Amino acid sequence: MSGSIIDRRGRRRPRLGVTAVLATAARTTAVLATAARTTAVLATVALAATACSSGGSGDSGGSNGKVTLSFSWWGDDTRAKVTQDALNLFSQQHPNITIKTQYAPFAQYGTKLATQVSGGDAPDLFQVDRSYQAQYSSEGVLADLGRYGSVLTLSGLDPNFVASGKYDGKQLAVPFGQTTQVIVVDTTKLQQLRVPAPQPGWTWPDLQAWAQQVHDKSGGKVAGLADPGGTWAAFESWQYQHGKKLYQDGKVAFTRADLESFWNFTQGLAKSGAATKATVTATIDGVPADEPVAKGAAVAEWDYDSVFASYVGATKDQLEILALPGVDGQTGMYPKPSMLLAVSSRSKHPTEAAELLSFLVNDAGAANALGNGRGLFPNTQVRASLAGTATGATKQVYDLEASVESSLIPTPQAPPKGDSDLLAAMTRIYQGVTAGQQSVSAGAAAFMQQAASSITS
Amino acid sequence: MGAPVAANTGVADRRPSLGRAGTRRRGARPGRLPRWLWHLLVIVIVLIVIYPVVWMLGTSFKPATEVVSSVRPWPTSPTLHNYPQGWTGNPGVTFGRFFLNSAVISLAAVLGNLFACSLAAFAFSRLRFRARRFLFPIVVVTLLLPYHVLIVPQYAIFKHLGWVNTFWPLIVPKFLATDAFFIFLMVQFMRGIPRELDEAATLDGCGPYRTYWHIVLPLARPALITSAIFTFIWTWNDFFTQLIYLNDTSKFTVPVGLSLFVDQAGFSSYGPMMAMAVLSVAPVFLFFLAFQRLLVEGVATSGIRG
Amino acid sequence: MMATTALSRASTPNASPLSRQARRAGAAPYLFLVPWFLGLAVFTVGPLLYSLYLSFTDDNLLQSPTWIGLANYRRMFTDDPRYLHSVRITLLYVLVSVPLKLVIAFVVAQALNRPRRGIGLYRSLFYLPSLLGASVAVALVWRSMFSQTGSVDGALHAVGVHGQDWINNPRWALGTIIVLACWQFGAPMVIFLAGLKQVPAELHDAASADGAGRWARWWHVTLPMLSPLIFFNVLLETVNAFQAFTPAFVVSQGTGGPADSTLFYTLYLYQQGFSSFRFGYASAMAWVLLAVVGIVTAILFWASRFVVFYADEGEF
Repeated sequence: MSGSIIDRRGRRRPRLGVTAVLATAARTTAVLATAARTTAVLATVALAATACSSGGSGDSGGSNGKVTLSFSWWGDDTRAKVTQDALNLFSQQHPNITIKTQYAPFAQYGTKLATQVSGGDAPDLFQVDRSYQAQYSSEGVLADLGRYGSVLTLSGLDPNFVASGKYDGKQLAVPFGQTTQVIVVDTTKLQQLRVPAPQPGWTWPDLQAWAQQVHDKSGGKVAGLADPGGTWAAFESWQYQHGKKLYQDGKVAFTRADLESFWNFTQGLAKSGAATKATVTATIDGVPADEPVAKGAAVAEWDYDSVFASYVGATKDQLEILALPGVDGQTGMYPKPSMLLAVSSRSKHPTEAAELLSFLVNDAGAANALGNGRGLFPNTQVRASLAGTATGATKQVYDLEASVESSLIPTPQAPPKGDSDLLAAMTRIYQGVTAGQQSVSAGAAAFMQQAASSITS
Repeated sequence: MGAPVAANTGVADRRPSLGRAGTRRRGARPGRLPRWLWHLLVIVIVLIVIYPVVWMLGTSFKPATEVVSSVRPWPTSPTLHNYPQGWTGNPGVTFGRFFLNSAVISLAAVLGNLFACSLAAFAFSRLRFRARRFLFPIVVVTLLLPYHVLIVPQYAIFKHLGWVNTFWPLIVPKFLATDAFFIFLMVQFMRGIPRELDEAATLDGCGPYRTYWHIVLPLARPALITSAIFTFIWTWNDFFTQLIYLNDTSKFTVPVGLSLFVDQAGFSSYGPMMAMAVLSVAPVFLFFLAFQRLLVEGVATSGIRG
Repeated sequence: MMATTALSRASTPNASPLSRQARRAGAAPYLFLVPWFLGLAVFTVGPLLYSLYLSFTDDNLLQSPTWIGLANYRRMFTDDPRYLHSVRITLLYVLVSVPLKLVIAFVVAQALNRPRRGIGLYRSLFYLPSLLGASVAVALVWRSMFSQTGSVDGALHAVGVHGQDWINNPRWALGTIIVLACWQFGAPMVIFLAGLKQVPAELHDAASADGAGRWARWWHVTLPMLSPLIFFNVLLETVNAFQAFTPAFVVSQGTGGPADSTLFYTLYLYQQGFSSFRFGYASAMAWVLLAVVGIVTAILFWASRFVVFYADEGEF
């Protein structure tokens, strides 16, 4: 009897013989094995199906037929609106192309994109973060844009800037916005504290003295600078200022001593109160509204000028942006792609995707719609015409960019695979250092260990 | 431990006779809190527990710059602005659409879990069959694996089925009892139902299907209601799967919509986000308020009528 | 204790209709299990086995994986201090948060299990925190409340505890996550409540007729009757705590910070899989967790034989 309603006395279950147990076990296993096989077959079919759909070259849709493109990017609701406006313009010009957008917050965008790529379902066109650029470039996920030169115009962009989208000599991605490293300063607070605003051309010792003054005059309530010790890109600038590099030919080019010198400096600031203390430094998470300047815990903060508007929106105070402090006149600032655009190597409509890409980085209408939320518009001619009409925070960004343009160093190559690990490790390990959990040298040693395991190419 | 259970089908027996009630009262009096003190204690604890929720409510009326700089629960210059701004925050659709989508998915998930999990739980708890000893541990094992590693292969399956960017990946698995938690929950409940009842039913000629439908299901009502409440709330709040499978803005759900108010390098509309978060709690709170009564009645009143 | 008509009827030696019934039941259990079988086969077993396979590869999500044998498993225990750190954090979290949360849930459920005016509203208000899930909104509330000038600090000030930025201090951040977990005690509370309602009133009546006092009745009637659900809650909360992800993920914005102080096991697994593209390694981590939680579950099941009372008196 294989099944019955258990009777009350059935708690003393009829003893099954060993053979019966084995037989049941075997049958159960067989059922499960079949189930597993079925699923495996299903999965294999799924993978095969996606493999077959790869390598298309736009023939299936053609430029005459109706084409549907998927475009994926990260950002918030504000960015969603401006992006949709730009895409509507494109659709008006190309009635045969329908664009389906997908977007997610940055924190989850990477997960969703990786899942899609892995499941053979990558969007036709998508945003790529510079820290992950090499990862996607090296794995054959991105289409070689050089093949779509007929629809993709890059001559209106700065050639050196465009080259930052290259990998192994192939144009696999195109910058979708330009930004540079700056210090954001709260001038309202400075006036209240009667501390003069720092001047361009300042040095790190200038910054230290100035930040100390803020701390002292505020009675220790406000720090001069949000501690940049956990900011990977701040260390990058530090390296360039000292005539060094972060990476060279895909390998680590910084030493433990470099890192120690940077952290000894920032720890000096933090210990004297010139920079924020550990618990405040821990709030620096890339969302300006959460960070020390917006919360009134510091007067100045290291960041990119593309997010300046977010700072402005998060506080009632008047804000300014300044070039980084330099070493021997070297600020180490460079034109950085705030993000890049790439076409999937498995796209069925790569030509149309490249056409949309071209529109998004060149078209004046697109530039108008998009605004500066992703940084300066890539096409330099369009950018120049927009600069003339800019107001408010946008104008401040254009003014700063104009003032530093001649001193910017060329955009370095994309960082190697694993850069995103180091970006996170920098914050994590420095949080431990500044909280007093480990010394600067122990932290630097731990970081070098992380670098050795993350940067393997 | 264990005192043996006696099932009692006689309704009259559960009303204690006067004499017994008297005994009980005499025995219970000492050590029992006065009513007003009980209320006072509970209210104080309630206030502590819901303080963060009050904070949320207050913050939803703060203007943008006050949201981040002030930690006080109440706004100094209150504004209603966050509500309309949050409602129309995303291009092309309003938050109303997200509410509708979340409601459809959550209600479908409730139906699916009640249907599939109660069937499985009945088999595991009330029927005797040889494979049970081997199959029930599998239910438990499926509870144990971190779901993050399953996302990628599952995505490939749903992609093959053509279900990406539809509600199906969020609903169909519920109808196939993939929420082992609820099978387990219902099994634990059903095992508490006295066995004599289905034996009596069997003697009256009920097969397992009628026993399931007429005896066990009505008696398992607290379990079913608990499962319904949990499924609804957890699906309503489930962010990750919904984010992975839904692409079009018009298909977004409430948690996905909420997450889009805050982003790195964005404007971080915390005020509108709080406003919509407050609104999003309202339906689940009402759902709970409505159904907790049924949960309370439980076996005690709806009980043994089958 | 109390004989009933049903009981006596069943114990009469009249087994023939019952066994005929039983024979007819034949395939019924399997029919009841059809949906579950299907779901298991399509959505669970396949992905499960696939992840087991991946745990022996260097899968990075973007390219087809290469077999690397046990390298992932070796790396975990010999070459990854952050892994061992995440194990410690998770164990600490399980040991502190599970008992704390269950005791709170049980006490509140017991307190609310009486006919009083407004009881439904009280119950719902206690459940309110659990309705919020772990969203961005909750994360913002938590960060604000446990910040230097936040409400928690204000309250502690009143009782003489020194000012502290709890959530951004590596020493206290895990504590704030534990408080968050305990604050959302609604699910076990509801299960306890439903269980308390299931305790038949006549058992209490019978016990008090036998002269048992309040505590004796609670100990000898309520607790045994509730034991399957206590076991259920202990098991589920333990399994959930081992897999805790969302609270730390939203509060620390995915970093497990500050300084890895809230780096839960699954959070590290997620980071390795989706941020560092070591999906093979993440799969191996998942299987180690499965094994550990499996052992813990087996121990709990074994222990439950001695302390859990089932009305059906069956064993699993």
